[in-house]
Amino acid sequence: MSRFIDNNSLQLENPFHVESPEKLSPRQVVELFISDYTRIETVKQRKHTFIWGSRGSGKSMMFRFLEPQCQSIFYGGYEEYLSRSDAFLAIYCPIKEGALKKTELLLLDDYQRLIIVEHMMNMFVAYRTMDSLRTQIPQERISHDQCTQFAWQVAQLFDRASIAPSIQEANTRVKIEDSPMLWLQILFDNEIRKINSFLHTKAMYKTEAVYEGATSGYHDFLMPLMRLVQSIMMNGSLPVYVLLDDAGKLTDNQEKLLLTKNQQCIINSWVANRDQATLCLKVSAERAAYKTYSTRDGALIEEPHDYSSIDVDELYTKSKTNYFEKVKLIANRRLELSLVPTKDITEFLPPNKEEELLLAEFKKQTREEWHTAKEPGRQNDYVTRYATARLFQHLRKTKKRKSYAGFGNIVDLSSGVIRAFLEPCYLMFDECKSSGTDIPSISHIPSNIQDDVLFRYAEELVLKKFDEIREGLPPEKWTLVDALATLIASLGQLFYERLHDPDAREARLFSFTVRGRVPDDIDQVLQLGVRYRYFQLRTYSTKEGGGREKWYILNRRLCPVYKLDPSGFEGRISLTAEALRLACENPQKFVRMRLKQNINQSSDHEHPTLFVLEEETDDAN
Amino acid sequence: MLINKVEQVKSSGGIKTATNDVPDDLYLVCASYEPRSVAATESLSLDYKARKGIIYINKEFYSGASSESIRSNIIRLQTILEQRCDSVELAIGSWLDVKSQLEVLKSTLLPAKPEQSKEWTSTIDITSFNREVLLTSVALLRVGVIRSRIKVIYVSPHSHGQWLSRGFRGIRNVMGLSGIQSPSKQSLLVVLSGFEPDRTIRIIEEHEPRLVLLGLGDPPTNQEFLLRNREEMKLVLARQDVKEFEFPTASIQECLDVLQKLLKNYLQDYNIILAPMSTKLSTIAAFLVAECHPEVQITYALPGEYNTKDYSTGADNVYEDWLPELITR
Repeated sequence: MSRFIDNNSLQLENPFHVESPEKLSPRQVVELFISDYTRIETVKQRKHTFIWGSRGSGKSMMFRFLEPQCQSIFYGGYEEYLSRSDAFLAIYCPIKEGALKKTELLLLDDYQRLIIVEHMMNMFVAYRTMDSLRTQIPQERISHDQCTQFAWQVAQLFDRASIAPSIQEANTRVKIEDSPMLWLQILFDNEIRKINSFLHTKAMYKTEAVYEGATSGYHDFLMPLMRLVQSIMMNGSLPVYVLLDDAGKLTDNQEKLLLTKNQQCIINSWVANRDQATLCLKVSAERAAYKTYSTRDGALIEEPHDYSSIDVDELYTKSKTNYFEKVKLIANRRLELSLVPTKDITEFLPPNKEEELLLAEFKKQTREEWHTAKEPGRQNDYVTRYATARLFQHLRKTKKRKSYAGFGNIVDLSSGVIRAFLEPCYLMFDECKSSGTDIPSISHIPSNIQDDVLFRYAEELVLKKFDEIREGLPPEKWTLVDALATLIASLGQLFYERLHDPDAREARLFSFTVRGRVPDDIDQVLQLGVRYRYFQLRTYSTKEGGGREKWYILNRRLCPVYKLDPSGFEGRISLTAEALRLACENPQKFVRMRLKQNINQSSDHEHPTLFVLEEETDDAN
Repeated sequence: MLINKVEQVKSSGGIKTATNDVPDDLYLVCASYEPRSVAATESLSLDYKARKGIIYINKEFYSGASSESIRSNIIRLQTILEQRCDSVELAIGSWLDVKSQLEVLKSTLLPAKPEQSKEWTSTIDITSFNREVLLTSVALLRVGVIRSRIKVIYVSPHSHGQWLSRGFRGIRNVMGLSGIQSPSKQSLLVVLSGFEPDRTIRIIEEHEPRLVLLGLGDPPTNQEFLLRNREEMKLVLARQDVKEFEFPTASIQECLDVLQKLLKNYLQDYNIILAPMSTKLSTIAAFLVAECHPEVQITYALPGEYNTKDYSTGADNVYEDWLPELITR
């Protein structure tokens, strides 16, 4: 198994090894993190921000990079980091399963639960803040004369009687003047214990449980706490950035959903206050898992008034896009940190030579064809549109396997998620290594190995993955999984037919929009597809104007299985709900109907068309 | 601890009360679709006496596909217990709805007025409980009763079905056993594994722990079970940051000793999450760990469905064991 060889030396045995950011040392985070093309500048702005992204899209890595130790390494020292005009003090707060969403909370009424959840979250953030001040900031950066007073002031933010036992506990463990931050951590820890003790009593005893601990809110605790934190920093009023990582995880469990919503409701209430100069929130989650934008008072937070947001799952992957460049930088950095002799990822993952030559030939042919076709549009667009399609058609005719080898192809196949690039590369490298080649002798990954791995990686998504999804859901939802599998097969076949049809004008179709209202059962299938990343979801302006419709883009990782072109998508198919239902039920009939309908369409314009093809515009978001 | 074949137990006089010659305050059993769910009650000695007999049922099974076998098992249990208990009560809980599950258990298991001076004795046939209900029941009887003596009976099957449960509804901590997490510690997941690799993987994926300690049941209650356990867990063991250890499956005390020794090295630095997914006896040991270390959380993966048609066959050995006195660190 490939691991980081050494915690400090940063030498990667397998350059594509993926490690959880929480396991990396600050130096490793800085070495591995690429800030270009990540929109980190938006995240660094003093505005509440939501960072949406799938698992493995780099959200946690970005958060870890913003922590003080990493920032100081990145800028070459604490002075350099803290004296910047846009400096901030980031507190990383990973929300772990089971720590805040406790089952016993379900025993409380809605009002009581929100109070306790907010107090739990406050204690969690406060504890992490003290931990950061103790372990991430050199002591000379904090005004020590003020620290004891700071600790007392923080303790006084609570109701005096309620906090007394926790103060007593902290006093017995450490002298406040010796270690004020630790003293506060013990105090917060004791409050956390009190909450747990209350929840335990509530669950286990017949007698009515009475909560005897303190409570805390935003205005009476969290904000004043952060103001006090600002006051003890030697560099003046740095804003405190609270980085709440994983604030929403997808779940079908209604009880869990309720607790998740409670938590999100508290976060939204904090966001609604717009106190960014002191306390700025950065919240990461899977977009579909963020279930409410409502505050505790029932108001809604809105973008851009209350917050900004970025989506780290990229849509466009073509050469020269941000994503392409980002992957290139990340991959090159990883090659630098490994023993392999090649340090350029485009050389390390070469394309299939034979196919390269073939494509060049088809490009030449379509260039000439453009003249004979009376020069429609621009010549380059014509070549882009048809040359690759001709290659696919040729390979089908000559019964040759399509190669997806080459850095550019693999970037496309990763569909905008960095982990989906690293994972197959990891497997390719492992395969090279297990064939007996020494790491320093691995100068590149042969294209046949790339192809084998990419095909298996794609196949996993259409075979094994559906079984896994089924196992992860209750039986009453299994019909949705079956429908999704059929829908994917239908679309795969449809797009294959288009791409391999020499007469097709829009050969490189890869996405669809839905016209009209979608029935609930079909909508659930689509949602499942988005949740498990078979589709990326965006919106598109309707042709009629005045509205937006949902736009589903197939995960390009599937391309090797359906022999599709991952290099881009020109146009989309507009499907009716009926057509979608058919696609969820019968792929053969679905593909046949489309073709048949197209023929009918040309002969009889009165008939309703099953598919409408529309030109892609640039206004997708 | 005593281990005997079902027939041996019956022929040697049957199962006695928790404290010999003193009637139990409570006899608790779960009526399920498994044939072995009545085996322990059928093996009670003729002079067995309890003040209260409780037959717990999950309402989802009561009205589901296996309702016929459950109803017949209930009648069988009722008939026997009516002769041995002053009163017999049906407690209809839910394996899906955790709130109602707790409410039913609390209202039926806990004495109305705990008597401080008297030792409250219970015999629990733990064979057919799902682990969450079992853990909550034991927790209630240990926490809510001041002086509690608990004897447990477990009947192992001859064999298990091809699958035990399928699908996944989510994870949750067991009521009252949510632990205390330090916000700065990373998490360590300890799994006492059984035959359900998918549920195990889900638990790992949901918790995203820093480290996983995967326990294989060795010695097992049956050598074949160990082979299957190893086979089923191959994929889990192949994952990054998963370390293997072994735990005894048939003795509460021995399993507890292994877990205590194992966790000693991690308690200081990790938030510990314990996922008992093996025998019911080792599940009780997991509870005792959490009782001793309130920081430890016990987690439970809610399955999509149980194999009610073919969960297990027969009734093999009867294990009789007692929970130790309250353990303090």
